[in-house]
Amino acid sequence: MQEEGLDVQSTRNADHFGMLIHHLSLLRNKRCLMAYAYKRAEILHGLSWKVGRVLPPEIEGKLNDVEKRYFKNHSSALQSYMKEMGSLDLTVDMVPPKDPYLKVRVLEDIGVTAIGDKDTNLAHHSIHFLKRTDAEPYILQGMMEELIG
Amino acid sequence: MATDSQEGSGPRIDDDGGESPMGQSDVELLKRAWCNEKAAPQILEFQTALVQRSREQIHHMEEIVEELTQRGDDPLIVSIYQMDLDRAQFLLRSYVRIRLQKVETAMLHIAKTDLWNRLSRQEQNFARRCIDDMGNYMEESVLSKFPSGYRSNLKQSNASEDDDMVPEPNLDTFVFCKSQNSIGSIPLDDSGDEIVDLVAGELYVLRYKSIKPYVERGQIDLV
Repeated sequence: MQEEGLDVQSTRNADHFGMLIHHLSLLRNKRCLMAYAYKRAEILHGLSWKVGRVLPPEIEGKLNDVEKRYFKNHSSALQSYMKEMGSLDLTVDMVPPKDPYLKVRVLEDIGVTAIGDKDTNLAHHSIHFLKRTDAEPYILQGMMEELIG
Repeated sequence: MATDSQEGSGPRIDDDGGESPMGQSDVELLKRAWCNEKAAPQILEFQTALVQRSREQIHHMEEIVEELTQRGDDPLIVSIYQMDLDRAQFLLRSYVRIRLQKVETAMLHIAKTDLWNRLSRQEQNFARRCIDDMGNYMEESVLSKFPSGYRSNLKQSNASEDDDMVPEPNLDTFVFCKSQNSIGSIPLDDSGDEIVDLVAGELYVLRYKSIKPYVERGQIDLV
């Protein structure tokens, strides 16, 4: 029946219409499945812009292996593009800048990290005055919050 | 980069960093390119020279800000320079980012048409990797489970004549636009029934398809 379905000059016997319905419903199923897979892939694109290479565990549990591999491939494609453009980091600076420095409060215990050329102790509940681009990855991951006003 | 280059204290700083032949600073040009790219439904031509110059100027500005902070100059002036630098960096990053996101969503369509030539070399590498990744992903998760004859990424089945599973960007979307000089009347659709007169500086809302060639030549700016 499949071969008949692909042969455009099919003889118009009684089977023809049944086969046509089978073909069209196969096409519809294919479109639905691909739309579902593509939508999930689009969501993964958005994630790789937001969080970079490491997936938060609650999301990672919802992906199957193929998707995890796709996410890894996509993040590394992005990383290699950024490197080719002369190490232009594209995951910071997502919103137009208002102030060059931000006052942030640390929400989780991060410990001593190198920020710029100084080491700062990002202890829980401490308030820091950091450069926007330094603080942004932490804010996006939810580890710091911006203090306004 | 700041429009006034008269600074009282400190050395004479070349903040505009070179003007293009049309008498507009590079930041202006970058801002226009960014605006156009953001509003257009299709990917536009990559401004290689502009991006290159902007990166050099940003680098130059970074060095100047470093030097000023180390000299302990007036912190207000330093933060104004820093702000300017941040703005230029944001424009550059956002421009590149918007283009990459357009490539991500429309990668198959771009690879098929002559839009491919609008990408920079690095973007083309990125697009090729994206297409491969997406192809593998589709193959492994969905397409391998279909009977033969339905396994193509691009066609619905082997009986389709064109690549009908490739989505095309919608060129009929409305965009806000402003033209720099008076262009005169242009037809709004193929039959030439409606015409619109474009006067310099006035804001119009039109379908992207009708002003596509003008945007590509740089005569009309999208807002």
